[in-house]
Amino acid sequence: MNPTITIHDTETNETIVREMTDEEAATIKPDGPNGWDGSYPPVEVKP
Amino acid sequence: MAFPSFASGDVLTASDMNAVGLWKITTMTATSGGTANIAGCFTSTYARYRLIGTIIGNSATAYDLAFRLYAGAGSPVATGYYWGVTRVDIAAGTSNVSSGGGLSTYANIGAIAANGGRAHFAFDLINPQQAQYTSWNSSATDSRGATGYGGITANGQLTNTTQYDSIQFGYGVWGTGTISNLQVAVYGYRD
Repeated sequence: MNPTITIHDTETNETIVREMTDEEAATIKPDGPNGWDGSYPPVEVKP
Repeated sequence: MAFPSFASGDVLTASDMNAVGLWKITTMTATSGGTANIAGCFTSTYARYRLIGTIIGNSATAYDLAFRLYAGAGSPVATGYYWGVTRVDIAAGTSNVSSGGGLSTYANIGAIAANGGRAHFAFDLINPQQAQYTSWNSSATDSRGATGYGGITANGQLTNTTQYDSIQFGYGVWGTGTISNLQVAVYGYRD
C-alpha cells in the first residue's frame, strides 16, 4: 500500500485523505545525500 | 471614515474594506499521511501570502518541515529550491546551519518536531502565482526544548517563473517521516 496524502481544496473547503498513486508515491522517496535521512539527533547537553 | 474603528451598526464602505491588508484564504488540518496538500490557495488576487501553522511530531526522530509547490493537476516541483537555514544549539550556544542547492528537491521552512511536541512556523511566500521566482522567508521553532534548536530562520528561492496555485507539505529530506497532525492557515496580503 502506498502512503496516504491529505488534500485540502481551497474552493470547496473540503479535505480528503486517499492513498497516493504509484506516480505520487515515487516522488517522495528519501533522497538525502549519502543516505542521510534528513533527521536531527537530539542536541547533546553539555555540563 | 470609520476605518479602523467600527461601532455596532456601522455600514462597511468599499474604502474601509479595501484598506484591510490581510485576508484569510483557507485553513487546513491534516491528521494523517505522507504529505499534505492545500490545493488552489494561490490565485492572481494576491502576489504575497502568509502561512502560519503548527506541526506535531509523531516519532522520536526529528525532521525539518518543508514544502513543494505545484500547479493544477501537475506534480509538485522537485528541483530548483535554493535555501539556507540558521539555528542556535540551545544547549551549547553555538550556531548551526544547513543549505539546499539548486538540486534540492524541497523548500525547508525550518520547523522541527518530534515525540508529540509542537513546532510552530510562520512564513511569507512571495510571488507563487506570478511569472517570477518564488521566494519564502520563515521563522520557526523546535519542539524539543533544551535538547533542540532555537532562533530558527529559513529562507530561499525557487528559481523558475512557473505560476503555482498549490502547496504540498512534507518532511525534508523529502519522503522521510509521516504527517499525523499539521494545521496551516493561509492569508493573502492585499496591495
